[in-house]
Amino acid sequence: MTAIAEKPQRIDLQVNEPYSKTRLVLGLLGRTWLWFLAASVVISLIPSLFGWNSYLIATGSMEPGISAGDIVVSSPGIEGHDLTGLVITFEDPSIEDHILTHRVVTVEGDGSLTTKGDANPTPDTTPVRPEAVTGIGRLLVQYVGLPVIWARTGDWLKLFVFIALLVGSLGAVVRDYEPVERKTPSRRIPSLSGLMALITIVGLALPAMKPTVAEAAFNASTASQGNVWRLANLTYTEAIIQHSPYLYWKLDETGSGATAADSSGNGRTGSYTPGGGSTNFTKNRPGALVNNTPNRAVRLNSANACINTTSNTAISAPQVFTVIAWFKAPSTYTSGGKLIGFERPRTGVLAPSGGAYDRHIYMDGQGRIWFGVYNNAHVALSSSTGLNNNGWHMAVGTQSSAGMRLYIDGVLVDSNSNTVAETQDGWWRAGCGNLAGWGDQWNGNNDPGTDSGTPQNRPFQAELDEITVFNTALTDTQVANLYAAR
Amino acid sequence: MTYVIDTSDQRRRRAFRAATPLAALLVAALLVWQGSNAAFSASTDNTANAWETGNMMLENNGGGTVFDLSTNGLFDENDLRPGNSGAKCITVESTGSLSGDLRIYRGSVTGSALADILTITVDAVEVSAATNVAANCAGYTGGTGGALFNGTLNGMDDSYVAAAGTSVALDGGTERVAYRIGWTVQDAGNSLMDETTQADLVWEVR
Repeated sequence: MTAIAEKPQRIDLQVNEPYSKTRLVLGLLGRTWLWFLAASVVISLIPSLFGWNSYLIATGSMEPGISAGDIVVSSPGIEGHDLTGLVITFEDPSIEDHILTHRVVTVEGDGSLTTKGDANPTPDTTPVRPEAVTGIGRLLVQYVGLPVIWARTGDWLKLFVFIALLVGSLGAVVRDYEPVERKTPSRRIPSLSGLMALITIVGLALPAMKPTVAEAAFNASTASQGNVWRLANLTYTEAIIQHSPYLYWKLDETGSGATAADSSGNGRTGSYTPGGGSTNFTKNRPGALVNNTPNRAVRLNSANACINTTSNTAISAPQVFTVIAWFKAPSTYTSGGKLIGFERPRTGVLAPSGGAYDRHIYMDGQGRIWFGVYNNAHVALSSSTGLNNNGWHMAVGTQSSAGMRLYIDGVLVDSNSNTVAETQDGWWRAGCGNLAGWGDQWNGNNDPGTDSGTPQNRPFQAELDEITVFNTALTDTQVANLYAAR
Repeated sequence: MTYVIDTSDQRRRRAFRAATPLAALLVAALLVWQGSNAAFSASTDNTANAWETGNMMLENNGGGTVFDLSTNGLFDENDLRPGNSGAKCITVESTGSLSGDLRIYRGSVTGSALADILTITVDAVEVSAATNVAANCAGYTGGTGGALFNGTLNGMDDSYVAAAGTSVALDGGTERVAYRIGWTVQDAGNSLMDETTQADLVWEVR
């Protein structure tokens, strides 16, 4: 037998030198953390490819469940869900372009939602409309947005530590390979570069799919509930005085005196003419103001009776004014007459050439009420029906830059755009006055005729109350409220 | 010829490396699942122990001595006539740890006719945490001119955002702010009667 002497073959055994355990552990930790980061980012952003919304939570009012730096992924569409108790993302009803993440506390009857931050003691003060809900919270990816929060709040130290850890982890992963590095570098590149590529892709994708920042805002509120202010039920007289009348003859006198007191506080008293005795006036008649005490009125008994301004000083003619007269006449009364007017002279009547008279409210022969001023022509408004029906009625005429208005019993019955009345000075009076020339604004008996040059005194021989003049024009509402307070 | 012999140690290492992405993904998914369950479960009493990162808390004394989240109306003013006026004080206490802007605004108004002629003035002054300014305004040292608000009740802002002009800065910690709220029923041309207006007053801090 031939002993075959085998030529010993030389085998180079290259045993990789042992890694340092520390490097291995650090490398594995680094890898795990980087993959964890990458996975978290992917999980938070992938749903947005399918129409879901990702929101980065900026504040901590949903603690302890949701913290600043978490990402909330919400699914759109709330139909068919009972939202009570669910966390929703919604457009803040109180701030534009502001997304909030709060929990629904109650669904109100009108469908709006009352929300509350879990960490807030009280619900949000503005209810959320269902249209403002952008989604229902589905996924919570914790902590992943913290670096963004740190950047937003200027927490640079934390941000620096984070970036240092990131770099350190990458380094640890790379160093994990170093002992075998020299000969076969090609095999480990794919796994390392896979991680790098993923991080790069996520890094690039992050701005593109950037989650909207959602506030989970801290707030708290407290309330003093049901504060009440209640006005007294003003009497008609109080309400009139509240409007600062120019003169206010309540005609509450009872004796035979000639003075009609002015309740405006301006001292513009009137005079019962010719004298306050019973020949011409019956005082202390039941008045128009059933809710007021005293409630007295005056009946004019003769064609001579009139109530005139006492002062001899002429009053300059107002172009903005309100006149009010309450009147009562039986249906048998068909001779009409002037309830209130502005006239020159102070008492009696002059021929038209020598006098001036307008701003008057008068009743015509059919019991209709007219409100007229003289603006180089007779300008008049009227009620459409007769009011000589034995009941008290309130006639109000106003003129202002808005025109003329006539109200009966608090209701506007006629208006026009005339803003100018007679410019001559004069005096206010009630119960009598010239109407010569106003025949075109008259219906029925006792027509005062055309402007013939003959004085046409038209006394109102029935009952009067609450004669009032303002140098302001009361509004529709004010007139209605006054009537309501009668 | 060179053989590279993998030691079992090395194979184990490679397996570890390969496993890390999977493990990390698993952990991430588990955390998301767990966190989502905890946060989005339909529970309504999730408020306990929520104060780790800070909080806000407001109460008012309703013009009296007891602080509460919600108090009965400071004002219950009856039989008012045009020209009448008055004022009352109320103390608001913040016990939160966060800083913020404290603002006052009104809730919805009923009876806007009166609310249109009811002038409201709001002034405020910070007081010590031991001070309790009640409705009679004893101890109130602030202004009376309506520095925070001066207008009609109807014209008062009705939301936190709109009421920026009433801001009082809170630094966090226990703080008290005494408010003086004045009212006047306007006089001129007012013939309203038997009208009532009602509104909540709300303080909010954000």
